[in-house]
Amino acid sequence: MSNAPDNSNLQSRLLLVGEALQANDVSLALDLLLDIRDTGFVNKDLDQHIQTLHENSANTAAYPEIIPPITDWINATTELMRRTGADDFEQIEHVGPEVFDFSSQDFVSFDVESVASSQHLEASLDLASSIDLDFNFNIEIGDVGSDELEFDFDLAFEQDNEDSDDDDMDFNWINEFDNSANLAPPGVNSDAGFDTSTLASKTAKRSHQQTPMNLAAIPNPFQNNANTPTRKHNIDMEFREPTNIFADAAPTYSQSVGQTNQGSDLDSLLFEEELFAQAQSLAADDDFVDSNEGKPLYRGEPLRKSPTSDIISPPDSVSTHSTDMQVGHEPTNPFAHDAPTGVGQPSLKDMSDTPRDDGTTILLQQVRKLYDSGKFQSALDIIDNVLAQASTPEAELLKQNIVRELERQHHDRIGSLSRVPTLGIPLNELSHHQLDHRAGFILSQIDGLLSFEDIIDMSAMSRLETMSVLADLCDRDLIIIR
Amino acid sequence: MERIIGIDLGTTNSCVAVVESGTPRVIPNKGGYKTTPSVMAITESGRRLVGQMAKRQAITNARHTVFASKRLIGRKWSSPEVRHYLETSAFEIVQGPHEDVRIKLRDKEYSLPEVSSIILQEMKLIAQEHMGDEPLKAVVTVPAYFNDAQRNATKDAGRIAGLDIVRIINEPTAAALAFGFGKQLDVTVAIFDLGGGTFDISILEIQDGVFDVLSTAGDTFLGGEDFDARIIEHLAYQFARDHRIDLRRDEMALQRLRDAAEKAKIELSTMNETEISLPFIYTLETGEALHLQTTLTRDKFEELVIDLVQRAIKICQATLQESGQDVTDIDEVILVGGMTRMPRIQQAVKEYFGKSPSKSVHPDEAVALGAAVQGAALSDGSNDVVLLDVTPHSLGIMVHGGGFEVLIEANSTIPTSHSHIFTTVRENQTSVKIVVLQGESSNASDNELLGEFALSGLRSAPPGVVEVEVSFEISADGIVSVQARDLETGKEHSITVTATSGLTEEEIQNMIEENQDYLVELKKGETVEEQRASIRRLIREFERYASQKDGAAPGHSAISEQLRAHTELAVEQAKKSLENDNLEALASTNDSLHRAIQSFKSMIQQA
Repeated sequence: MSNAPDNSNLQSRLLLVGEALQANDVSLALDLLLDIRDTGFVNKDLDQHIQTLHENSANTAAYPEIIPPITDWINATTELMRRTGADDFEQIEHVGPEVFDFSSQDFVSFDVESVASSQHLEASLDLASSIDLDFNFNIEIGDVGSDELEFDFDLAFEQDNEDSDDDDMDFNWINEFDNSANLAPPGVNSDAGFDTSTLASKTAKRSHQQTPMNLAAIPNPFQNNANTPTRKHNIDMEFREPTNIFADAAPTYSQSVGQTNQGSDLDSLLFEEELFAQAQSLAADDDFVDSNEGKPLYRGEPLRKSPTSDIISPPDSVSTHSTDMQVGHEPTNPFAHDAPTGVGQPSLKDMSDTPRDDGTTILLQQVRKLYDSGKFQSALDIIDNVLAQASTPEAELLKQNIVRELERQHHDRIGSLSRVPTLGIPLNELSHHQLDHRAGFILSQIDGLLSFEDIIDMSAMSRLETMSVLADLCDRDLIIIR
Repeated sequence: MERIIGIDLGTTNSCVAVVESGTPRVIPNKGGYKTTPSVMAITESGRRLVGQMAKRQAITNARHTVFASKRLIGRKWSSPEVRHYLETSAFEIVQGPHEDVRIKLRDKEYSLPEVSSIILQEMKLIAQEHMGDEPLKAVVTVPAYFNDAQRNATKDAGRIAGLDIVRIINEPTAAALAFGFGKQLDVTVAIFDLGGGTFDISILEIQDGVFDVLSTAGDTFLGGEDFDARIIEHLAYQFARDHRIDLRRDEMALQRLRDAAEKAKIELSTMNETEISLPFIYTLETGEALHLQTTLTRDKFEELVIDLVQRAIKICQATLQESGQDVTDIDEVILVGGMTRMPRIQQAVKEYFGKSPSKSVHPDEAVALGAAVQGAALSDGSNDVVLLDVTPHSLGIMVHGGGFEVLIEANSTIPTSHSHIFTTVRENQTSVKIVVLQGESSNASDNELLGEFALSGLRSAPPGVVEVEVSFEISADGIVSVQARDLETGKEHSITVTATSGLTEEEIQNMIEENQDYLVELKKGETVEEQRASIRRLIREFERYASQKDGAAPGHSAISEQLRAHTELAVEQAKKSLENDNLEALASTNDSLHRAIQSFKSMIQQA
């Protein structure tokens, strides 16, 4: 580099270029970019954009086509610089989305509320194409004709992302894009059955809650597509029409795009049956497993990362959005959480080594179905019955996962457990409400000093039951946060 | 000048005080309360709860909640008190490796000093919160009847908590100190201390600034909790009568009953009746919810507890008799302990002593305030206050036939010494075994063994001929020395009785380390709050700055508007991140937000 780059002004200079482009002043933008390059900054995108502007500066008709990608690049670059504190192109060349520090909510808010959602969609197509989905299953979905995207979701577990430690995050990521494409939402209203109405309006919420918690595992679009302005960076920028640069890389699961969830509960159950039948046959097929050299296979249950028990950590961040468990609330995706369901479960094959009677086997299968369809409460009821008869490690582990999922849902409804609740109504008005002794006990503990976590710790009930009661009381505004 | 705090390490409640600007004052806890329940618990999630929170789950988590551990501290596993506790305690008590007592909570065994250290540490943290410095020294109070082992165990508890206990004083002495603070008194006072779990009555003589405990007695199983229990029984009976349901069988209902009973008891000290409302106390199988709604009058309450009041007065009678005093000799009666706020108790005290009790000291705070006064006297080196401690129990040796011969009477002012001559009992007895005991029973086996040694080489002689002088000495620090000497040959042997808490030095050191680790974890939790506070500060800073800039320069360039949008986005993210409990995520957000705001500000300034 012949000249020392004037780092302190790179961001603002790029933003000036952006302003010039917004004003369709291509000549000025070109001058500014040349000026940047002349001060010693080296970047092939920069060169390419200079070249593009240079070639088309006189062709105003081409402006609508050439300006947006450059603007996107500027926005993405400046945003990355801002977030990383970088002051050079080189420094941001290898950073990934992790610099965004998104919690699930953060990301969703962008995704839903800004044009970024559609940009994500496009960007995702590339990502999705890199994922080794179980194609057979996609075909199967098509054959069955189901529009239940929840199984698409399951399929996403099939990705082969060996480099990633957080492959479960990736599937969420994909599902995110899936949603953004206005695919038919799953419409699963937990135990309340499938919702068949207003599905389109729920897409956003579904998208919201399926956002991956840890973006670090997502392939870095900046790295992979260095010459292509990725839209992920533009999530907080001004709205622009997305450029579908990854149109050829449509993921296989997008077959169900455009379908709406018109299936009845019965349909969905039948569909579950078929899926599980297939899952079991796959699980029993040792050759199938071997031929895939340890790749995760669809087994009718959520994928686990390794044969060992990986326990899902509690979510670092919580959503204040209600879940489908609430009565009277809009049903949302039961898989709406930051980590995938079922992580840490033994494989069905492993489980098959455990001797048990057929009744238990059937019950456990039923539990798994309910679990996979997000009906955690029903799954818990059944698994409790199973455990009451005979305790097996498999059932115990399954219960742990179910409880964890339910706790996560309640956690989402409550919000941060470190917050301190107060009574939403005077104590003497409580008797007008339909409550039970558990709620009465919890309400008696609320004094404006104890946090939710304190109350959970002090409760005589299990953590899950206490969280459930607290969540209900929050939903009914009987307890509030001031 | 370093400040020495005073801690009333009570059986049911503890209190911390300090002298500030010459005035002793109690330091309130985070909840604003001046006393903190001496209760600790381990929750199912492994979290340690101390104080009010622990108390509020004491019934629902009874097996893993320790209360009134002071009744067990310093006691041996085989002691009658421990036997009694084993039968009544809800938490698990197990035998320790040194014939001591341990409490098992969630598969971990805690020594009694360890449990007390957790309470002491809480008091230390309360003091640090208020004083802002590091109060490492404290004067701690104990009941006057505590023996050496119990006092030593309390000292060890202080060490584990990282607290240097510079002095241990008797509770009635501390109360009298608070009462006599700033006064020139020459009086005999009775300290009537009815706390949450124990009752103590002590007679003290205050003369020329000297506080002398003449006698002390009490009942370690009589206190405010017994009064609460009567209300609970009354409420449960009423409910059972109306609904045929025993609420005491439901631990959540019982916890609520207990909380309500204590609240009602407190209210009835100032009001003639109180409303007790426990909505949704029980749900029938049909799903119908039942409420407990009743009114309790003061008259009814007094009727329920009158026998407890009488029991306390009877102990007063016995104590006065023992001290050789008459009620007419008592100049002042000082009420200590929250339960003495009850008008019926005040009335009973007045009837018995023939005079109205003094209300010049706060019943909940008097002991801690007195300890703080003593701490202040120690820290500034003044000798305005002289404390004369007494030995709470008689000291002596075992004699032929299993009898107990007292050499130093109970309530003797220390330092003191006493000698007595004994003779051999057998023909040609050449050695004697000196068994040192502490207690009030005439049977040696009923008293507490402090130590034993043998004096050999005595000349052969008929029984009763060889004379051995046994001397007892108690130093000002409470160290007991016992010496036996053959009067004819001058041959002698002695032991020094050093009471231990039942813990080895290694164990204490391990506990100190564990406690330090715990504090580090605790600090980590606070750091999460600090990160949140920092983020909130930055958000406020941005909002303030942005609004100022809006007013000053409404028209910004597109760049600054875009930057502003970026920053606002970062602020929105940060607001959402406040929901997060993850320290690293919060720290990262904090950094990002800081950078975003700085960049925004610098850009605006440049523009």
